[in-house]
Amino acid sequence: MNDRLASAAMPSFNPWQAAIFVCLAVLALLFLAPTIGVLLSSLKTTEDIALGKLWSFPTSLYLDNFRTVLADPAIHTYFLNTLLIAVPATAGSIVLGILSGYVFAKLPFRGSDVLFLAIVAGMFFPPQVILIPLFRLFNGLGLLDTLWPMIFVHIAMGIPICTLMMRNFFATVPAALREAAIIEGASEWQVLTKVALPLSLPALAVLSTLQFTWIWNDFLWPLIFTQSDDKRTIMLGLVFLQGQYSVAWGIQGALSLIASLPTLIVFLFFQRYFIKGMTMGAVKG
Amino acid sequence: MEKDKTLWRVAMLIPPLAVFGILVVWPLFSSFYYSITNWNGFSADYRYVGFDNFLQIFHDPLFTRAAVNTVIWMLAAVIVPTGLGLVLALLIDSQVPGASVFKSIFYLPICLSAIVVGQIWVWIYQPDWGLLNTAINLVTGGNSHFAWLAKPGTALYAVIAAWSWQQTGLAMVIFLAGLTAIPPDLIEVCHIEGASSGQRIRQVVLPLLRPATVVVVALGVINSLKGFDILYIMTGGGPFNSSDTLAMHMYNESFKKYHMGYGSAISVVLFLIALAIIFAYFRQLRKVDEIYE
Amino acid sequence: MSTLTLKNIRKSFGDVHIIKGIELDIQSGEFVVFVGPSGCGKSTLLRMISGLETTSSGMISIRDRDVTHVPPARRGIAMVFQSYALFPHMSVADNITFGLRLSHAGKDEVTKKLAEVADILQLTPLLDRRPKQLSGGQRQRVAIGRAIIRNPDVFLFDEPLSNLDAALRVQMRLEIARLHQRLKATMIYVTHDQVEAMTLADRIVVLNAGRIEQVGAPIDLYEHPANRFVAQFIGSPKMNFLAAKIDVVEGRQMAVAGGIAVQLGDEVPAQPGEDVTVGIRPESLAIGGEGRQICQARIAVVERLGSETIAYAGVDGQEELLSIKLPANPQVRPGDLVPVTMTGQRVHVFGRDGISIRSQI
Repeated sequence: MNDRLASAAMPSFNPWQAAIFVCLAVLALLFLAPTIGVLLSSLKTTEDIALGKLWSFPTSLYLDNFRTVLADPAIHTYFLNTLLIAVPATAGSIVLGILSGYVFAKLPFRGSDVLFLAIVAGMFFPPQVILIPLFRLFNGLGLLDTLWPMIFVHIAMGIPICTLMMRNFFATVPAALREAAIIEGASEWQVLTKVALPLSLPALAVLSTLQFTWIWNDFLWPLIFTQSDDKRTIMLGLVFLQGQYSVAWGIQGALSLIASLPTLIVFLFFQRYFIKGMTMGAVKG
Repeated sequence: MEKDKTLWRVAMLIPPLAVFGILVVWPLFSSFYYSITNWNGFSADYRYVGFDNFLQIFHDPLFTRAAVNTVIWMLAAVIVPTGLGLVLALLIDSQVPGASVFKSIFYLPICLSAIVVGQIWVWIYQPDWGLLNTAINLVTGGNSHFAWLAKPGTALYAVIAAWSWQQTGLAMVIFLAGLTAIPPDLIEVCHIEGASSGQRIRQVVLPLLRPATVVVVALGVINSLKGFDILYIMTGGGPFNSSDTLAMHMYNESFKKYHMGYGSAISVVLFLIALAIIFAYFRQLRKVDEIYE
Repeated sequence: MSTLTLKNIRKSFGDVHIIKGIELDIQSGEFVVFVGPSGCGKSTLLRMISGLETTSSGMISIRDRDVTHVPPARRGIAMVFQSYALFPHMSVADNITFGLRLSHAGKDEVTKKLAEVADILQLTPLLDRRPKQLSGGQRQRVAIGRAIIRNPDVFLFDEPLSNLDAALRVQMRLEIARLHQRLKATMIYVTHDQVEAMTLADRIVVLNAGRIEQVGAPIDLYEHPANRFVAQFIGSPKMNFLAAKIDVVEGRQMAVAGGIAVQLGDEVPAQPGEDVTVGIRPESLAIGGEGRQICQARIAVVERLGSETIAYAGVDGQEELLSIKLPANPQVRPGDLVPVTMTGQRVHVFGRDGISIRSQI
């Protein structure tokens, strides 16, 4: 398709093209500069940085910052906590999204459109709107300063996006497939698990990458719901350690990189799904 | 058959609706309730205060400050990531070599957490060796040690710049998706009818990008309303509340000063603003739908 | 006077050759149809003429002007797309006058031309509507209107009717034929539908795998297909092909294929024993009657179409069923063993290379 756009009869060398390339390259460098800065700082000693050598290329590979960070047992706790939240919360929100998405796509009823819109609208509200009542709720349940509130809240907050994506995906599964299975004697549950879900693996991939990344990067909920150090998630821990290593810029850089590693890996390997999810979630919203 | 369907509907909708109802809808309505009390967050003893909290809003200079800052943030969100994202999308879509690499570079910040983005930009604004001052000194030959985040005049804009850096990639991919959704033969008609590049972009591409634009603008405005983490780590709303937003102000009142009743009132205001935006957004989407597919 | 000339036109992507040397001369006012199976290169060729696709080598000239490297807008062409390609955000009037407005034509001129075109296509009451509010046929007329207003030297149609349902397709086909008569413009029309090609064309260009198989008036292609490909592509139902050997029986040249013996006459330049393919159109066959019997066959399937009936019959020693076109309501039933006769005189003989040896007795 794109070839067709490009191949309209035009001279083969286009000075515009070159200008655009240069323009993009400059912008890309500007865009990358912050990230490169962190990378460089993580490879330097605090003295080097303080002496203004941050932006020079490192002469030797200095890895002590990473060693310090990786040896810190607090980091291990933060990582583990975040995983213990992100994995069940991702799975939970997707399972619930599958259930509601299936009903909205394949078993619509009077008023289901309104209900669907109301759920999807939930995606757009600032979390501050429900902060206080949730704080009170978990306090009453004695769950403050455990990992449970984050798991529950992320499952609940993930329902809008998961419902939206699963409904849109199930909508593309032909109605005839469901009807054929029903005629063969399948129950609605079997249609969902044996027909619709196996066809929806791409949607599940999109949702898992998105949900995992969001939950991993979350900051507000653990800030409200946890107090003790051994319950902190990685992003909260990052802010806390910032105080501990207040002028150790290199260590802070290494910390940021390591904390972002899981999402960076997800991004590198699932970039396509990631972008698709972001645009699908946004465009169809 | 129809009875079966109803049973399945109920069985499948109960778990998600229950979770959503208990953890999202119910708290939402509770917020309305707390907003007319003077609860402090812990004591069981609190009382009904009517609309006092909402009246207090009008006399709270910090609230006014936060509201103005939030509006500034929204405007910036509409202009900077949307504009820059559109330009980047148009440039990348013009068949340059390495388009996919460029796309990844501009998109990369999206997968970083707001906390990490904030930290990165704290270093950029670092007075002594930060990238910004280094660059300025390099160009002007001066010796600036300007503390961007510590000055009331610049703090808010410095945070917005960092936030825009992250959001631009999102706007760009949505515009790119919008561009690929334009049927290629509409562009070919432009070639046949003799439209210049400028005419093509102004008269055909931009109008056809309207659905994507609605999405990007709405998302920008909504996300700016949610902007909290990055502010928390970069300025904490300071200095002297100069970079406070409504989300930040709500947090401070509720969880720093334990004015949960007043905090609830602010969250109700936030909710109403978000509701208005969402309504406008859904209406625009429907309008766009009527013209395009 | 020739309007469009293609000289040794080629198109390739690396080692993949899409168009392999096309020579064609199109006269002013001619309606030429490019027809062929999907992937034969017909659309690519049309797009190369439009300038939307570059030409790897060769020369395209329009009105004796070399336009091979001229951008589409300055070639003097207009194009009607399969998808109509209407701008959803513009009214019908704005869609039609898009090109005029781009070139900053005066307001009076735009209004006058728009009125003319809208009148020709009966679009006047629809001018303020958006494309989404129009039916498929109306959208197609708007797309044609946008082409007409350019007053081009050559109209290019890229499968314009394939998005319409069957009934509307016949109606639009008539409209396009009438439009051609009215405008007397040069038109090039791409389709995969041989009925559209036969009904619309002054000349048909049959394309296959990037090459021209044959160029000619519809009836020429039907009566004198140059090769097997054209023979099987033109005509419906398809021509019957029989793998046969040349034989001489009682001094008469025959083609013998399994249980079928077809008399050829004595002028086919082929030696006895030579392998050939014999092609017989279903409409040249009959059951019983006065024609010369060529074989006995058992009826397998009878398709009654109302105005005519197609019978498919199996012959000993032949793998494929023989299709026979019969009058409206013949007395045949599946399972009948019937004598098959030749009514028409036309037998097509193709050599091993598929080229027609002789197409008529």
